[in-house]
Amino acid sequence: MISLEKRLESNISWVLFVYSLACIVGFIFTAFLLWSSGTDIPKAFFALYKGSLSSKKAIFSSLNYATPLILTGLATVVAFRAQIWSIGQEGQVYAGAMSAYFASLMFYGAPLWIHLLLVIAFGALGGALLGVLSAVLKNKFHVNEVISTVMINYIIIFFLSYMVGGGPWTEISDVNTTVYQQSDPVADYSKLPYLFGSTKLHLGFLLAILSAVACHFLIYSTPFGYEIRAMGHNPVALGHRGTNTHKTLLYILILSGAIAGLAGVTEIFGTSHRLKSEALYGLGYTGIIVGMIGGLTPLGTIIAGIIFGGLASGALYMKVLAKVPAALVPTIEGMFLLFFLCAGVAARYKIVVTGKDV
Amino acid sequence: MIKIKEFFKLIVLGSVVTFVLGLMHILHAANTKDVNIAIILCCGVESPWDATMVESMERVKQAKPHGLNITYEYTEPIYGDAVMDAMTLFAESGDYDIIICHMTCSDMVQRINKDYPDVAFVSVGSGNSSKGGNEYWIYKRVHEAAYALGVLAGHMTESGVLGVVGTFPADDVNDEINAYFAGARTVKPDLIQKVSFIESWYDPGKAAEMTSAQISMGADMIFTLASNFAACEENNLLCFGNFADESHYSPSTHLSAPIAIWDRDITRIIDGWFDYKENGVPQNGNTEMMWTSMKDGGAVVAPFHGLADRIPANIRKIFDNTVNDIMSGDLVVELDVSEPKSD
Repeated sequence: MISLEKRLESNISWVLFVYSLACIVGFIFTAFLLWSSGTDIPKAFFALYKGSLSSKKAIFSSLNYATPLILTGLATVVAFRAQIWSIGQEGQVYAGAMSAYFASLMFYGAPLWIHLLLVIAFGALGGALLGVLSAVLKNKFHVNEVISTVMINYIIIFFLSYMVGGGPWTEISDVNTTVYQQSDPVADYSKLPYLFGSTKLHLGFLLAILSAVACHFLIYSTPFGYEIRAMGHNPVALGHRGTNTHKTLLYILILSGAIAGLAGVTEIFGTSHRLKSEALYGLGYTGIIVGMIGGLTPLGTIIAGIIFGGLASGALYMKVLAKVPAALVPTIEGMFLLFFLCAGVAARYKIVVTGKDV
Repeated sequence: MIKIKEFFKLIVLGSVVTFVLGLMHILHAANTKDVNIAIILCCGVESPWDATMVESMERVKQAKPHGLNITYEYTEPIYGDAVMDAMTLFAESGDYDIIICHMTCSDMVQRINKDYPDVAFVSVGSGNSSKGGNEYWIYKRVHEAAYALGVLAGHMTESGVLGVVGTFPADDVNDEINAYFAGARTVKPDLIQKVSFIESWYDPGKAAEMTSAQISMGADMIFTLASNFAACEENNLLCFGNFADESHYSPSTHLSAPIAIWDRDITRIIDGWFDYKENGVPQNGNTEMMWTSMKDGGAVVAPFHGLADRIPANIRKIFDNTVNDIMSGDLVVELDVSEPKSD
């Protein structure tokens, strides 16, 4: 008889096997979707490869797309590991971008590295402040964090729309296009420096990797990390241990918000070089998927982020070269999420073959 | 004195040179019989903004300016930073002579256009700029057509409340909304205007919510720039669409729309590119905003189709006169790009 038993300890070979299987099944279903939409399947997969991995330029492009996703994925990891279901990453990305943009105007003229550090710090601060707001609503008024973060997302997105759509940060062009949904370009010296001679990959990628390493250390090697994990397992027991769970929740949401805020900084000062909504749209929500696929671990999030970055870079090539319908790309991402979540569950179980049932 | 032999030599040499130059010209001309155009769409060909560009391109293709065989293709919706990658991809392939980016993208164009001097890059709409050379900028204003429809709405509204559902409060959105109300106010000076923006370039779901909200505030005619007529159908109201003739979506409610016509703009770009290819004249894209008036074919008013009977004859006559006055230049519609607000 074959049965499933929960594993007491994880087995790395089994984990690798189930995640590889999820990948293969994901690609098979992708092929099916492509076929059902009348797309040339080999051409589509070749376009995906060409756009994501085929050259140094493609790889840099993938890593560039991955940068904000790794950060919003990490923001998800920090919150979700404590079973705090914050959906606020989207708004925190916007808040981080706005706050950093404010700093870039405020500290214009400061020495280069001090200026950049202030821009990055303010970005983190902006995201963190939104985290504080959700934490206060939860701690003081028992507002469910799912509700509060989603509502705050709307508020901050519309606030940005006001600021760049007629408000004080609206671009004033010299050619009479006076009202549009974007700010003036950021100053050249506010831009995050490019890495490795690329015109795509910027300092933000290093920031994302450093953040992931720092999160890994924090979660697995510090008392606060223990509290995050304990809160996820049993907040009541954590409270009985003497931990102030309200404070822990506040710190977790501050940290999560700060990391998501950094994603806004990297996108505005590394890639789009203007504050505008369309550059930030969806980064937070996609980060939730990335964090989940990464198994809610910082290092897994790097891998998931790079996979999604590759998908984003390759998706463009699929659309342009293989005429893959735009709607299929998020469908493919969603499908991979589903299979990876299944793999995550399967990784915790083992197949046991026993003798005859009696 | 030149000997006869040398004279003949000169004639032969001259003939050969003339022949070679002629042949080169013919071969060069042969290269400019075709033009291949890529259009990067922002929202999808089902959205009026993108649909009108594709429709115009098809008409220009049939018109064959300079006798050119025009081939074109358009993308699935692409937005954000991916647009630059798409432009680079098209330019790198070497297969495209003109790349039209049908959205705000001049920042990205200016990062890559110098690397591909033989290609004409085109940005479209508000939020752009142009530094000239092989960079062009197309603009669109349909405020004159919107004004004419405003006159119509001013006559037909019973409640005296007109609603507009806009996308974003942008320069080339505000202009037509303001013109619409200005047209209506020539008929009903005490008109109440309601304006909502869905804060998206294309979101029919939000558009439906906003339309319903305006109807509940008393608006009995809606000018929707956001492509959803469901609320108009539910309330049995006449509505105006925008940019494209969307009457097939809602034949019972879609009365008309200001329609964007890009033919002249596309032809202008092709002219510039052709002059460069054919005569070696450096490309000289416009650095200032350029738009084509209704009189010059930049916009029209959509036909009323099956709803023409709903317009009383006297009102129809006033409307036609307004359109004629705009077309003749007797009526100049004021351009107001300030953000419209609800009363």
